Amino acid sequence: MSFYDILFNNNVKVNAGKSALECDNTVYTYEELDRVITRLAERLQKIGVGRMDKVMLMHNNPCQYTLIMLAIIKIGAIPMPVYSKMGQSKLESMIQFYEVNYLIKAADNIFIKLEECDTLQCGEGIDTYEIERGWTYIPETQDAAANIDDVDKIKDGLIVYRMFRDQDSSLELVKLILFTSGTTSTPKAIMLSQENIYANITSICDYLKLEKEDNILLIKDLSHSSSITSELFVGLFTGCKIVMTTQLPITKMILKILEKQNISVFFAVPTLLKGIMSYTKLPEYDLSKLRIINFYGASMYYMDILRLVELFPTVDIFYSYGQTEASPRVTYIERENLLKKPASCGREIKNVKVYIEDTEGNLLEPNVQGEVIVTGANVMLGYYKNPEKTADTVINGKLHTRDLGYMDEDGFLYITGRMDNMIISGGKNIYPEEIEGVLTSYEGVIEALCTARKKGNETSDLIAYIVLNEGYVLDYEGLLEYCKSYLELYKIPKEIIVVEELEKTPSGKIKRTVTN
Amino acid sequence: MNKENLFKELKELVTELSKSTQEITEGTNMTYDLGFDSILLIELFTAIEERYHVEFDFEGIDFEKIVIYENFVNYVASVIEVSK
Repeated sequence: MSFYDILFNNNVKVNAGKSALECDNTVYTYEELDRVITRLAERLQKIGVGRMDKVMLMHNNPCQYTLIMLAIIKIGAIPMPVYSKMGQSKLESMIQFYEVNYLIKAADNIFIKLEECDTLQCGEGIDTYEIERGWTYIPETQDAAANIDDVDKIKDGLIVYRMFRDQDSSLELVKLILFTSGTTSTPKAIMLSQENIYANITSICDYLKLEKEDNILLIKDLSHSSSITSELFVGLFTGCKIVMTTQLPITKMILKILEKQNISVFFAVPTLLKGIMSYTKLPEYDLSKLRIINFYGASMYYMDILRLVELFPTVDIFYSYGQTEASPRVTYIERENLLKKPASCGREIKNVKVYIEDTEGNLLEPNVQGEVIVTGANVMLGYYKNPEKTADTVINGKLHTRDLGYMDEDGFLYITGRMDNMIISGGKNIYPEEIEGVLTSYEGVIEALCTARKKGNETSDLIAYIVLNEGYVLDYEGLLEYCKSYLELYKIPKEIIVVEELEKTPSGKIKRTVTN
Repeated sequence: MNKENLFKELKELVTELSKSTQEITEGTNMTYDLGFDSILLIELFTAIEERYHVEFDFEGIDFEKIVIYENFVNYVASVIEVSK
């Protein structure tokens, strides 16, 4: 069975007449979706796109983005989704480094003009092809030509650039290449196999328990692994209807779609949820069809989760943790445990194992902090054209996430920081987020910052600054005893200083600084 | 509020969120030049709402134009002005 067939899971036949994808005023059934994708795939094949070709795609219309990606998959080529509004210079550096065979973009994207590029060195030069308007249009009957008037209104023309000619035989098992969103000059390219993606889809289906009657709202940019594997592919696999929009996801827009489209499953990031929760006109919307909210990305403060749970009392709420390198989901936590185990990101999803190891690779006991390690069929094949980084990250089948955390006795994972934020105090490695988490879980403490205060040339004292709720009177000894009940002695701050406020960055995040 | 000061303050915020080292000028396109996607734009406007105690309506706003930095500053300035 091809990867394409696996993704659709026979829904093209079984759910042929059922709505599969809707974006603004465009709706496709499963059968129509397959027909449009097949037609586009044939056109791309005529241009020369073939099996194992690396095909970069960028488009600001999520529906067309989806169709293009699935057409590439249908051919057996490898999609490399990138952000739809990436600038040309960054794009060129990625194309050059990864020796990309094709780039597909919207014809009206005037910011990318590879035909005028004289810096890309790709051997035989760059060929430019056009896929004319109308390819997304479904004629009323199978034999009828497209209605010319309607086609003229559709802005779906594509430009296809052909660049590097050779294929890379090492990519035999690769079905998707996703880029990290890091700030380094060339983003890392994560290679995912059919096994990786299928494993994550089925694991996610296991805990979300989607049904084909579900209508899923998919908001986030489709170049992110969470959107592709965890939302789009999961929805198609289950036979759901996936709703997208080209409009900016401001709160009013999201609520309008949730209501009008009878959305039952909403995949969201905390930024969007906070906007919804603080919207004064929220009660005016009928969201009675909503049964699942799955948020991911950043975690949410306990008070925000409490508010979310109160506002949506009958909705199953999930928080998921993961990394693109894990295809991407690793753990999930459901509604009842979100409140019982604040700050946890949950238990392993099905067929994934999570361990905590020290720097020597020794397994650590519950409640002992170390690096979060993941094993399972979802662990990536590696970083393309970066064997050193791959060898450093996937060791004996184990994915080293570089996240710090611990598991409690019940197997719930807690992420306490990144190995990058480590500070040294008293000769010990200390991860400030862990201590800050304990401090802010104490009644009356709303913000905390742990930092090292230098004393002498080589040593530092661990100091914590805290901000209290207005009017709250701190029981200093009580707070210290509380910390001692959760932290080893060397992690207890030498001094806890109450301040009016903590210095923030322009976006409101607490600034991490070392004070003297 | 002085528009020059607002230009600088918003520039700090935009730089921080985008994590870009690119110089921001009046003609900078925040999506193409700085990588702002839809979620990051929402995060940006939310941060501005919290910082300046305003609320954005976005009624009639052309987002293709508003992501040009000069237009963005003018829009924010107009919302701040109305809220006073």
